Amino acid sequence: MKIENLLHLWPGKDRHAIIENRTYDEIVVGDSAAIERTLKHQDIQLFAIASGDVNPTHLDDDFARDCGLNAATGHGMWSAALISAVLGVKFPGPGTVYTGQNLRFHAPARVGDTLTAMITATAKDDATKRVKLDCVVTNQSGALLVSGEAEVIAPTQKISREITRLPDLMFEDKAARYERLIGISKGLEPVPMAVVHPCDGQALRGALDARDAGLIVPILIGPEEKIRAVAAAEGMALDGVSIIDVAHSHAAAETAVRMAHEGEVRALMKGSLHTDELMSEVVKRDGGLRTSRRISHVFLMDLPTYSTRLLITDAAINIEPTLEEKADIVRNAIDMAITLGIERPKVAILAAVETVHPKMRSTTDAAALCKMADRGQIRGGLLDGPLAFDNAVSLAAARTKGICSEVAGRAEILLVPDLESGNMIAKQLEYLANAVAAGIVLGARVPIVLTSRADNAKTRAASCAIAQVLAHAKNRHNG
Amino acid sequence: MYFEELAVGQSAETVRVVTQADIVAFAEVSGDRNAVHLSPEYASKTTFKGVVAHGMLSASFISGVLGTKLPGEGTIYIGQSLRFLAPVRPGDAVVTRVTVKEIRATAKSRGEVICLTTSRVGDVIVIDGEATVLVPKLNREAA
Repeated sequence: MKIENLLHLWPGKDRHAIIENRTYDEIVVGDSAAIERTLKHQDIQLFAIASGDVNPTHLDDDFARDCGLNAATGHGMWSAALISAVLGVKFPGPGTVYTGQNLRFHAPARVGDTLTAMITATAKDDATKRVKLDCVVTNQSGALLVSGEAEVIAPTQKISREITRLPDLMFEDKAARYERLIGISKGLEPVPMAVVHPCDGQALRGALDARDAGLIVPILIGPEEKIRAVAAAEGMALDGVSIIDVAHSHAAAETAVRMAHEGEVRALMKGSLHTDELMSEVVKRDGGLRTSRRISHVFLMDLPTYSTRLLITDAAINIEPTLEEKADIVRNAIDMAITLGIERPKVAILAAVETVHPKMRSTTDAAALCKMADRGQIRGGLLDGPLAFDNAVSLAAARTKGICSEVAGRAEILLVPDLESGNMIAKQLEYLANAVAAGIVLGARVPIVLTSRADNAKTRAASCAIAQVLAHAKNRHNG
Repeated sequence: MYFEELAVGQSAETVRVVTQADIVAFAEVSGDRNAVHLSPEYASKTTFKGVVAHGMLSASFISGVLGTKLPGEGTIYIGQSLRFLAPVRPGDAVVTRVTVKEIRATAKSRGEVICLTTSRVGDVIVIDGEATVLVPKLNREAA
């Protein structure tokens, strides 16, 4: 969450406001000055970070209620800090040395309260240039929140300067974004999922974590002795987990695919075998899990810098897709987006430029895909392309280029030209833009979670949550 | 901790290295955009001869100790006196120590506790003061 406008933080709301101090000689006993600030939820969070005071009275509504308060309240020291703000920028202002402060906290500020911090000079000492000031912080109803007395050494030289510009601050809560992503399957029953050859700690833990989170009922398929040895070595309990004992990874893939084919499991998860070993069973003509659609992969990413989630496809399976294959990749992604609740997903077909260039196949394919959508060959989404990445995700960039489109600047699905470009986008977002990510294979009879060794536990869980949602949707579809 | 668990002399502390980012965050959240905290160029010409942290930023660490360590969750802050004795600069490690000085039994569900608060950078005391807090009692019904 970005603080939209820092100017709200300072009364006057003028970035170029001038602050001027009041020198010792200019201060008359009885003079006063005030500032006003409205407490926002972000202020409480920011103050908690800056002060280290994460006392739940301030951050957790439920806990605050248990303590007899109506809702989470601002820190007393935040209210008091407004006094310091008056002293520092207004009265006496720059050049002031803060030497002491007494505070009495009478009542807490609540989110939405507008506080007024008012200070009044009460005494001067010419020898030391010290000034005593009475401090009062009240809320919009006039209730007293903080009272006290400040002591400062007032400036002797006149200072007048522009108020210091602050950088924009970003609130980043990656854990919360993961929780929200995993929350997409909230309320759904766990789905039976075949976990193919979970013979290392990471693969096994991923399956058990997803079970603990209520996302899946794992059925472990692989050499039982090996799976049990891994569980024992990692200290994981396998009580109540079904294990189907097969000799090796190839047999595990075969068994899992057969079970999915027969409807005994409704999703698959790759364990510690090679992707090709699993996928060659999945795409097998006879008894495999093929549908009329080409199989493709989608990354679902939640970014701190973009207002909606992004589906990126195909960054993992189709290396250099043809136009026909791209059409299926888009269809798969549109279906998934609709299942996830996006009514008419906006699809940006990416290239390096936003104009059709015969020497760049990505641009001619993009144009063709848009026409296919016009003619009803691709349904359910709103397609536009070619679009360069900036035009796809930034309204300002699209406007600069004069692109008039409902998709440009607010894309929800990014169709990439090939696996390499897609893979680089996805990994850059994950590593450099702090994206939280999940991945899923589409176009087979059941959703498939393909995890990579570099994936963390949360990515695995989020991927299982998507598989769960898709499996439930498929079930509704079939009957 | 509950009121009944507190004893005179108990203490707790935190160590925080103050970064320029903390100072910017505090300037934002408090509205105190005095250049002595934010502009090295301006600050170098002041009596401080360089950027200093807001006194109230270091003071807010006291709130951190009270709210999370001693007495901890549920504490209600009702008063604080502060003497700002020396500046804190970016990079300084501020050790904030809270020591129980006096326990005042009250008949209500919370008891009043006075704590000494001392903030140090190395051997230098940068802030000293006294905090007054209300601490929930373990047995509220009996109280």
